[in-house]
Order: sequence, then structure tokens, then C-alpha cells
Amino acid sequence: MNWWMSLWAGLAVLGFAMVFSVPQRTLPGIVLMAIGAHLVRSLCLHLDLVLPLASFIAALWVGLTAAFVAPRTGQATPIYAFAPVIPLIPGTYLFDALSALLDLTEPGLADPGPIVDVAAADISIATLTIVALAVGAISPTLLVGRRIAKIVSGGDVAVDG
Amino acid sequence: MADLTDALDLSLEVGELVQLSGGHTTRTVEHMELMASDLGAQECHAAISSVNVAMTVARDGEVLSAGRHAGHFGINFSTLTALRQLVTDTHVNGLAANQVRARLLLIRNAGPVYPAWLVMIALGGSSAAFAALFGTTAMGVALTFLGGWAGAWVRHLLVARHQKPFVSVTAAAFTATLVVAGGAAMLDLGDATTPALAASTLFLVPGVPMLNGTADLLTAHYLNGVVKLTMSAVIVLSAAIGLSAAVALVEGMP
Repeated sequence: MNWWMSLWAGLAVLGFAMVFSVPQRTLPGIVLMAIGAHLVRSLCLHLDLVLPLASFIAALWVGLTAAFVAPRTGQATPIYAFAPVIPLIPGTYLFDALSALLDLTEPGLADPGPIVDVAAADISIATLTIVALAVGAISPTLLVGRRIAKIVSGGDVAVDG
Repeated sequence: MADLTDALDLSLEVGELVQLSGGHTTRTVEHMELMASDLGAQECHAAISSVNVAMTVARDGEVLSAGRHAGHFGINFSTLTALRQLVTDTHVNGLAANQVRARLLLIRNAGPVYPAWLVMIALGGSSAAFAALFGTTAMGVALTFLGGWAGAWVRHLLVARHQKPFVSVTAAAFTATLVVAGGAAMLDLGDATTPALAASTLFLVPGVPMLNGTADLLTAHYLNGVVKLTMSAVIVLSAAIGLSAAVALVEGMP
């Protein structure tokens, strides 16, 4: 495993952060969180966890970090919770699934069985991973965001994240 | 204490802006109801649909209701932060209605945080970084940067002309993939082609609607959640159509 590859996640997140119009001063934090999330997932994969579970743990780390950092810096939580998980999108699985589906439409295909297997496996992994990313990134804010914000800001909190 | 009409009007404006900036339903409801009660409403109830925000406020037997259209799902997290700050300031410091109105005007009229050309370059960089993560070569990274940059411009220009996501996303995916697939065929990239192609349309990933849709489902706003996830599905399908068409075109070329 090339750990330095995770640095690319920092570049991958920049475009999305800008599309989301995040404040300029939050960009370094978002880049660091994206790199950190990729490292966490790489570590989980290194420990032989499956991709959806590894992605869920990485997204959960992002969501929890965002729940702490956002109130501390006076920003809305989505700024830190949303963009850093996007480099974890399972793009190759999505592409392979699409390729397999297109292969199934070729005329005169003798044995579609193996292609169907590949498509089903790729679609399952991609879908589960995306759901894991979404639930992992969002649930800390929804479940304990206000409590964390109270601890971090040391007082009453008007609104969540 | 503010006039009840002001409480209704300003809370609706807050809700509209949260909805337009990419806030999920619970965030929108919380911001609206807190603003209304801080401006003097004794009872308030927000109702959010995928394209509208509505509010009912009551005080001393007087009941007012109104709604606004807020259909376009834009994304502006700087606006979300500014609104969060405004709602907090109103709650903690007791801002008056005219102060809230003035700050809302500033928030609504704020210019873009980043110039379009810089965002397009950054999206090209994002695509290139995805290609590197997926294991393509340096040439594949360069091609994906070009494809992502060109596709991002196509989407930007079509969105500015109020085209629906099906049109703008399909055209953007087609452009990005055509650049990558065509370049890879000309330069004979071999095995490096697949990761570059897989990365070429990822700048179109509907991250915010997917995450907000999930948040809505987890907070029991089922209808709004399904709408956002359906919108995400349309975007993903549109990208798949554009990508497939471009790959088929390149494969069909002599």
C-alpha cells in the first residue's frame, strides 16, 4: 500500500470544496481531512476490512471530526463533513459495473453469466459503499452534533452545526 | 418585539436561503423556527417540501401563514455559515427585525466565493487526482485533467442557460469522456485507459443531494429524502449515459 497516494485525495477534494463555495480559510482543514479520511480507509483495507466497512469507518471519522471542528471555528458542519468524503467514492466499481452492463447488450453474447456476476458484485459494492459514506458522514452531526457543539463552545448552542 | 408579519417574513427568507444553499430539511426547519420565535412568535411551525418552504406563526390569538418557492437545489456553504451565524446572533444578542433584514440582504447579495475559471481548473484537478488514485499513468492524469476541465465548463455554461440536470450532466459527461477516451486511443494508453475513464466523470458526483437525502431519511423527512436521492439518481444516470455514448463513439471510430 502506497500511503503517499492519499495525498491525491487532498487535491481531489479541492474542486468539490470550491463548487460548494466553502470559505477560503476552511480549505486547508478540508484538504487535511480528505487526506486523513483516505489514510483511515487505506489502513482499514490494509487490515482486510471490506470496502463498504472501511469507507464507513473513514466517513464516521470525518463526521465526528467535523462535529468538533465546525462549532470551534464557527462554521456550518457540512463544510467539514461533506467534501472530505467525496474522494472516497468508489469510482472504479461504478465504472466497471457500467461497463459490464453495457457488455450485456452486445448482440450474440454466448454466456452472459460471468458478466452478470461481475455487474452484480460491482453494483453491490459501489451502492453499499456510497450508503456507508453518506450515513457515516451525516450521523455524528445528527446524533451527537449539538452535544459536541455544547462541549466545544462551552455554552448554549442555538442551532445544530 | 418585532411585528408578527416580520417574524413570518424573515423566518421564511431564512428558510428559503438555507434550502437554496444546500441545507437538509432539519437544518431548514430549525433555523426558521428559531428565527420566528426569537422575533416574537409564541408558536411557530415550519413545513418544508422539495420545492417550497412554508411557515405558520401565532401570537396573542393572531395566526399568520405564508409560503415561498425554493425549488432550485444550489450549494453555497458560505451562505449556510452566514445564516447559522445570523440565527445564533439573533438568539443570543436579540437582533431587531430591521437588523436581521439588513444582514439577510447582505447574505443574499454576496458574490461568488471563487471565480468560475478557478473552480473549473480545480474540478479538472479533482478529476486528475481521482485518476491518479485509481492507478493511471502520468499521461492518463494529464488527459483526465483536460477532460474534467472541459466537462466542468460545459456543465457550467449549460446550467447558466437554465438547462435541466439531465441535459447539462449528460453533455458534461460526454465531453469529459470524449476527451479522455479519444486522447487515450490516440496515445495508446492501454491499461491506463480504464482508471482514467472511471475518473473522468466523477466531478459530476451529486455529493450534497446524496448526503442531504440520507440526512432527511435518517431524520424521518422521508418525502424530501426520496426527492433528493431521486435527483441524485437522475444525475448519476445522466453521467452514465454521457460516458457510455462517448466511449461508444470513440470505439466506433476507425
